[in-house]
Amino acid sequence: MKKVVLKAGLSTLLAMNLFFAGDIILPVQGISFAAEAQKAPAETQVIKGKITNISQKAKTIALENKDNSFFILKFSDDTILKGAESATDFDVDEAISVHYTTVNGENLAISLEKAIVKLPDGVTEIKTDELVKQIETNKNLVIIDARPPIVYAEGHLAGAVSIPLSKLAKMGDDGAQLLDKYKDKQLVFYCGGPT
Amino acid sequence: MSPKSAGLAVKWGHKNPRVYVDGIPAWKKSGRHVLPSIEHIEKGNIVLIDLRDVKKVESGYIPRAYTVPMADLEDAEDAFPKSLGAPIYLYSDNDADTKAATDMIKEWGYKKVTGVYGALASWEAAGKSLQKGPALIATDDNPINWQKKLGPGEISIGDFTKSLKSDLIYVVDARTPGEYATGHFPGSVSIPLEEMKTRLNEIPKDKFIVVHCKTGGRGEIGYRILKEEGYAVKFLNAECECAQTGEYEIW
Repeated sequence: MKKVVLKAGLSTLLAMNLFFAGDIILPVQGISFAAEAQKAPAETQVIKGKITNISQKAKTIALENKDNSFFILKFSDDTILKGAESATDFDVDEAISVHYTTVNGENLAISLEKAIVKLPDGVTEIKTDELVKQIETNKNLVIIDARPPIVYAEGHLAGAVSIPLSKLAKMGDDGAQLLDKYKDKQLVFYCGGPT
Repeated sequence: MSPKSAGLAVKWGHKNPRVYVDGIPAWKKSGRHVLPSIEHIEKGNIVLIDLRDVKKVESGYIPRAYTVPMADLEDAEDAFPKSLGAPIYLYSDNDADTKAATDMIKEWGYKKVTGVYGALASWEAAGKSLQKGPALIATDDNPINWQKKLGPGEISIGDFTKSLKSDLIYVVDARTPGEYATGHFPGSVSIPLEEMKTRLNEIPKDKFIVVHCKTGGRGEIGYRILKEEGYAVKFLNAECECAQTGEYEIW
């Protein structure tokens, strides 16, 4: 009896893997993945998500999707790495794209690739040195921390205002009001790095 | 998340919002500081340490700060919390001391150490008052007390220790067989994380499962695997060392 239950559990999980591979919603919008054009072999599937755990010893990665569903996969010395020198370059909270196959219910990574950041139209990037200069000279500057409030509380750029993305996005167009008072200001948004 | 925020700003009519894509990690890497919120210093579940001399501290310090004068820091390691994940915030009236102390405490293995530069001035600027009187000096006999708040799926060290003696609880050691062989918790069963998905039939469904490893990393992944499979499961998010005699230490 128990065996049957377990089998059902595994096949459900496998079915979910197939489901995941189809249309994955990225954990963060505004991020896209390079080398999308590469055609993978027929049995290969693709998943994109954010790393929630990585164990170098067990060569195992746990990924999380936007809907908080999660996905376990293993990698090996044969796994192709893109945008990274070694598997130790992949960190928790990084967005990655994975090609994998499923063997005996286990997901084996064929390639691991770091996500690259694509900015929306009308938005430009600012680097550390220029930001420092702007902070010193631009009286019109408003720095906005887009991370959750608890992370802001633990440590943020001096003078930064906390307006979490979750709050902006949840309010729909009413979110505009949160930014309204900075209409004539130069806005700089930041978060916990390119995740 | 910041590119999306900036995208919304464009949609709502803001001109050329910019994104500091490299964010906090790059900011810290460039040697610059971050500031905690005053509320976090006042009420957060943190360890706050004043590095000034006792005499200076007693003329006014941020309430609940432990005093560890810079000159005594090197010998005070044993007075620090057992958990290397404890969030430690340091301040002084001397930035060089704050920097040196941050480096030393990180060297001891603490992962979340933050120097709060200009803390006393920020505290007063926020309208908060300094506490005068006897300092709360951290020593081996009066160690710094810090308790972790448990996250989802985590079991406390105390409950974990108790669970080792219970028949209702099945402790899974997710480390490698090699690590298991050098010493493990009494009664724990070796199921390495990489084999967990293929060895589910060995894990009883009618018991409460606790997964552990050496640091909590593999334990958490194991917890997620088993939870997905419908197990009642928790994991130990702590570091541990087991001897072949069955003795162990968890911190």
